[in-house]
Amino acid sequence: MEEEKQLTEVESLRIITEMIQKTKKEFYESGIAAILWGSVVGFCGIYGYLAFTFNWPFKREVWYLTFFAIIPQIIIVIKERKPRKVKQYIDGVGAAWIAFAVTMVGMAVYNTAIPFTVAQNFKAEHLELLLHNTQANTTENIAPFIPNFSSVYLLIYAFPTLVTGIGRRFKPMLYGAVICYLCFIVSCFTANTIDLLLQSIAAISCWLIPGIILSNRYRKAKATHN
Amino acid sequence: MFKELDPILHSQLRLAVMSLLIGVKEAEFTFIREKTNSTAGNLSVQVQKLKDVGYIEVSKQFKDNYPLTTCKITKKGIDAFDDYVKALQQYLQAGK
Repeated sequence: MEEEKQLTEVESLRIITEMIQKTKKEFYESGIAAILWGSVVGFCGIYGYLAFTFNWPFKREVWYLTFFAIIPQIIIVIKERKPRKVKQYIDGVGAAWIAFAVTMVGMAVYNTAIPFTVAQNFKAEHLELLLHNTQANTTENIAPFIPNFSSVYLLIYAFPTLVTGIGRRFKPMLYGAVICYLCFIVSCFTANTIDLLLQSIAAISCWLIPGIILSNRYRKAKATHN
Repeated sequence: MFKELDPILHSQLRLAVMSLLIGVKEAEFTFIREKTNSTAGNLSVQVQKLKDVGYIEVSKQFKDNYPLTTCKITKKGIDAFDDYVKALQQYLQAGK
């Protein structure tokens, strides 16, 4: 690019537009993280549903996979950040995903701590939770639990997905978020095992499918860029 | 009455540098050079001019034993760019 050439107004506008477009190309999302989380949560939901239906092992333990998925997520973040010669501002969409990650950690803590705390409180007040079967006329002592917790997860999944869909004008995530909200409504009226299936549908539509679309776009953009 | 276009920004390479930096937090010198298709010498001179008027900040560090220069637009630079675009719009609307 030559320096002291006299610019016309139209040329100035062309330079500004061209340079902003060039910077934009640097920030194409690879979609790998969305594919990772869509696959992991999608698999856990389907497996959980099948495990409860057919009495397979690791009904609840399968969800520990989501903790292990944090390791490849960290690797993805480091790998994607390393070759970039330019740093981006964290915008509203990025902030929504950071808030989502923090909320998910908070939910895991809540999910673990609340039943324990409630049990302790009951114990202190000399109370216990009983489950009475009206048909068999049996009563058993049960540990406190959070009912229909999947519905809350569905609401949280939908939130950053909707923000991304609107903020980035990315229709696949917008539709994904709508499907997720629909799954939430349905989950309020269904059994826990069905909720697992709904969680899987939500993860696939919110992240896996949009992630695959993003990945294809990224590869195409990179091919034209090089 | 037309506002005069900022002579610092009304230059091909300096305007390109500012247009690149306006949308990012910071960018490496090599990135700017690649995107503007300029030579290192010419770019250095123009970056220095932008730095002298306070439109950008330049920091020099070492990364893996190699010098690393990064550029970042300042508040003054953002305001100047904003004014430049507004003035440009005036000229373009008048030409219609």
